[in-house]
Amino acid sequence: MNKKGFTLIELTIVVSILSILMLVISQPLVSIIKYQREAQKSDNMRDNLQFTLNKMEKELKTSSASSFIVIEDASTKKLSFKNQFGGNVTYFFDSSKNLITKNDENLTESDVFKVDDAYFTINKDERGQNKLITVVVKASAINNVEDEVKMQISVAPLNK
Amino acid sequence: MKTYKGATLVGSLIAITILTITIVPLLNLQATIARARFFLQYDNTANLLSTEGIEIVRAIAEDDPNSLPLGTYFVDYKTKNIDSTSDCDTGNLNQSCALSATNDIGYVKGDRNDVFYRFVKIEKPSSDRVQVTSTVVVKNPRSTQNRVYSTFTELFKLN
Repeated sequence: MNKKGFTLIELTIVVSILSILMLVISQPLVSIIKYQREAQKSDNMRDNLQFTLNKMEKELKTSSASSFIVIEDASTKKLSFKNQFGGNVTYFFDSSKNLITKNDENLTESDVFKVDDAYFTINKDERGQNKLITVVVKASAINNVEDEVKMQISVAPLNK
Repeated sequence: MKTYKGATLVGSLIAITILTITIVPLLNLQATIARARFFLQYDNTANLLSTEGIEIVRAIAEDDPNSLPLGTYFVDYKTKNIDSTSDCDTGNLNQSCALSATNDIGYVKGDRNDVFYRFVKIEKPSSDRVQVTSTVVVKNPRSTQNRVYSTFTELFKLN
């Protein structure tokens, strides 16, 4: 009876081919997993930033339009206004801590993004009345300087 | 005489088919995820820019919605009067509605082809109402597929 198995050379060749195949197949899989992780982090950062901006948007919309003042010089960027309850509110971009504060309390507290820069602008009409308040925020993901985003909100306050 | 036995044609074909079935979907999936990720990174910004379009028009129109001109227009947060006509629509994106964020003062009128395109359409669906629709389109420079991210509509009641 002729019992013929694989030779060592055949086995070695098969194992080598299989290894190369596995390597080829695993590359896209590794990329997909990496993409997925990065996308999740990036998405999380953007969602957090949008949430913060939406909070600001709601407050700005119900505030008194005539009360808005922007203070901006080389070291200070501030937006002051009266909210719907008549209270004084100040948004301040703290460049040393990479965050925006609201009346000295951290407004953008987040462990997923830091604020790299912020701008406050008031667009006035021909009569000098405040019409549109714009907040531009440049942020980046913590521990990933390459993932930067710039978002902005513009609000026409309802309360004149 | 020594017999040499190689792989049969059918065996080879089956092997190639199995390999193709395994590898091609994986490569496709990778491309799909890369494309989805491109748009994902602009999703939140596109949403905010879309609502901003409505706010800009509201800031201009609140005193007199009757003064809003009907048509398609470009607006950015520096716009004081709606006068910059745009012939943009989702199928015809051009520089007239490009939004650029290359400078440090936010998204304003672009002077070159950019990722974000925004146009507001002002219509009068009935004699007592003005309808404003703000649309933001994200253009993928590496493909012909654009994505209309968000469209917000607001109605102004005329007196």
